[in-house]
Amino acid sequence: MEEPIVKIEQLTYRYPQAEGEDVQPLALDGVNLQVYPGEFVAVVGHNGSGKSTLARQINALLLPEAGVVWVKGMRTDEEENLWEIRRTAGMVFQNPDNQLVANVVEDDVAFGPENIGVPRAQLRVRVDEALAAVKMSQFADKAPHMLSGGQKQRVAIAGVLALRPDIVVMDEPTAMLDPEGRREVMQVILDLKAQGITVLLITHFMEEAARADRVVVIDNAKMITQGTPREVFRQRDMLMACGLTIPAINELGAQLRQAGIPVSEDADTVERMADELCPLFLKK
Amino acid sequence: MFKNMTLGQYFPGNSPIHRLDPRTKLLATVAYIVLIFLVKTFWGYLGVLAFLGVVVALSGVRFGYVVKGLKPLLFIILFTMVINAFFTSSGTVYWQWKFLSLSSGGILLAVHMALRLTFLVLGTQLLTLTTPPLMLTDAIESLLKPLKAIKLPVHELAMMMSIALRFIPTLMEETDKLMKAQASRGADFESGNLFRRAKNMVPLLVPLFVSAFRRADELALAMEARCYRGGEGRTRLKVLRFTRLDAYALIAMLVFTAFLLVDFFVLGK
Amino acid sequence: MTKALNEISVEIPDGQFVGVIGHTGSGKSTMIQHINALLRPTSGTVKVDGVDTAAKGDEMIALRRKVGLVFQYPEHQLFEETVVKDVGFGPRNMGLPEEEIKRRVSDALAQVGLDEAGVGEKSPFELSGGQRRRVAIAGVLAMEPRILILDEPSAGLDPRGRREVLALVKSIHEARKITVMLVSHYMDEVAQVADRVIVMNDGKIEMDGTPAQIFMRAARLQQIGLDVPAVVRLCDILRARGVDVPAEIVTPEAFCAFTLRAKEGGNV
Repeated sequence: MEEPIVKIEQLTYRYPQAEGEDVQPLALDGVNLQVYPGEFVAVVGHNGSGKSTLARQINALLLPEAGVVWVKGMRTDEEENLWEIRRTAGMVFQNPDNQLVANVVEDDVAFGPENIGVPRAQLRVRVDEALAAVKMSQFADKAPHMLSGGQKQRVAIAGVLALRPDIVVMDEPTAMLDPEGRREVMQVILDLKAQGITVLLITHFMEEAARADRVVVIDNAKMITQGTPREVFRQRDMLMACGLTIPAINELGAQLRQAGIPVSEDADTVERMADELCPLFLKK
Repeated sequence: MFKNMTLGQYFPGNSPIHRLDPRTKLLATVAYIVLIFLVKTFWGYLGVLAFLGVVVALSGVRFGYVVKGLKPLLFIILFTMVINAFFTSSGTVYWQWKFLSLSSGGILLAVHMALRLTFLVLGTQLLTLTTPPLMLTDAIESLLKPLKAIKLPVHELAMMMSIALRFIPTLMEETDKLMKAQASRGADFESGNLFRRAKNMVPLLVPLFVSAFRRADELALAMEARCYRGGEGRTRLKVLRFTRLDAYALIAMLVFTAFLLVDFFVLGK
Repeated sequence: MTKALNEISVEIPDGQFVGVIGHTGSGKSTMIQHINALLRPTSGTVKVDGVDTAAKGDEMIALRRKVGLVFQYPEHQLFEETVVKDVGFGPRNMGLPEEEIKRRVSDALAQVGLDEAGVGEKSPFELSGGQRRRVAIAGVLAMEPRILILDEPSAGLDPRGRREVLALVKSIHEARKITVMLVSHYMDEVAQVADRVIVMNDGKIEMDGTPAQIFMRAARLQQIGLDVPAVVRLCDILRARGVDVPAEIVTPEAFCAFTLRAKEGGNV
């Protein structure tokens, strides 16, 4: 079996308590997770469930209180690994406005590689490649505030890609976008996967999680379940109890089965559902 | 309301002025500011005007656009004129009341100050109109580099400046939205005396500060995540380089300086 | 200058629940800001309760009080030291007596499902994101507007938060019998609560009708960049294949009922 690129064992974390406040509750409680090269894993959970905290642990922005996080074999709690871990596990955040540093798109994309001292001749190549990967090349000399939310988020992804990471961790990259922006970012994620880049997507949009290879459900700091989208979406009541939903088409399938209409679990796209239902309606 | 401000804005282009090394432009602007205050005669001002005219024409920025930048400063220019006119007493005195007076020397000084300020604004504006803000901060960082020896955090200062510039449009947009939101709740930003108006700004300023801090926090996190650890060991995508164009600009600047020195020492006598 | 809105004409009767959908830049935000006189038309007129929004002075102030506007991410506009003070900001600006302000603040907090005794004296910044949004909505409700306009009230929330905010908006409409305009990117959200849907595109009104009427044109909705609920897309495909699906079926529940009827009746 291939070595996992991210290996999380018994990870426990709580945010430091502010002065005069009670001890914070656990933000992560004994979480185990492994992500393998080339995988697209979605982590779902309601706001405050601990999923963003998990993302920040992978980039060593937060360090475990107990347990261990390995990124490509490097322990995140060993100081000498810090910069190599941040380069290996790139991170994209929720607010597209608050993660762009420079006034010009290409300068922003160059920011990461500049920080790790990539020679200048290579910088140009990396910036052009990264912008091409997110289809933003024609915006190279534009100012970020002239772009749409989806475009800004694509620039943010390019800024991470320019570091040539092994895995890209995205913390709710679509939460603040309109449907158009969400589609754009989702397309970029699928393109990355096609190129063999590992993606860990934190989200609460089930339609996005449905595109992943594996879905991990986090609730109240604990990992509740994981599996293929189909395995997870089968557990509709559990997801509802976690404050989540299942994709509309899976919901329809579940309700039809409950009503005694024989549709299979394979019917998880509108087209397949139509294929299964059509004979039912049109039989003589 | 902010859309009409040209002051400090960049006017994209590819003119010879745009292509100059920002350090050249920065140094030239500093020299220009000093020289402006040396001008003594009508011929001197005419020379400055001609010089400015040539630079504006070369830059491809519309004249009207450059002049528009004076608008927000008109009050300050007028104010300086009045102060100089009424508080200076030299030459022939036309009118006097207690410490206020109107004299030939005062009027002359007022006209001088108005002209100097006007040329000052027009000239420095050309710098920001033809130089992307980030290039400007790069230039400042590069020019201040020797000061690192005396422990001045040159890189950090430049980074702070460029980030501030990056977030100006974002914060302006946010201010606009907040004003609308609070106006919908009956907030009044326009009427009342100065004190009342300042108090009425609270519903605007508190959320703006909260949001600025939140943004700063998130940005710091995002920068760390992208391996930022200060200026040490950083490479640059864009490196500043002097070209032949800069040499020409330097020569032009020397000629201009020589002309103003002649004005100062010879014509101004 | 391009036109953000281009010669639109629309009438909204008192008490209606209208959904306004369109993608970013379609003109929906521009339109709602006209109703509150935050923006004035370049040409044409906007009248609210018979008053032209071009009105000035007292008339304009009276008009603004009639129209409550909840912006996107409204929690970002909170600024007072306590929840009660913040919710009272609008009524206080209206110059109401202290007793009346108190009553309105209590009513508004109760309406949005916040416990005044529990959170009233807390700083809004101590609350959770979802609670802050409720406080902000209460701040507009406390002005007791005749027309309530909400711009993407569920933006950025998780599925449970979205459901709750939507239910809240619906309960406000029912309890206060006021006109509500819900602006959204999401057709499925709007369809759950609105009596009427206005679809904006390119500064114009592209469609105007009941949710069922709008959904009959699923292909066009997708063409102008709007998401169409899965059930509607399914019905669309089934119709194309010769199944006679009634127009009013837009929810999974309705679709199940229809399928059962079809099954029991043998043929459709």
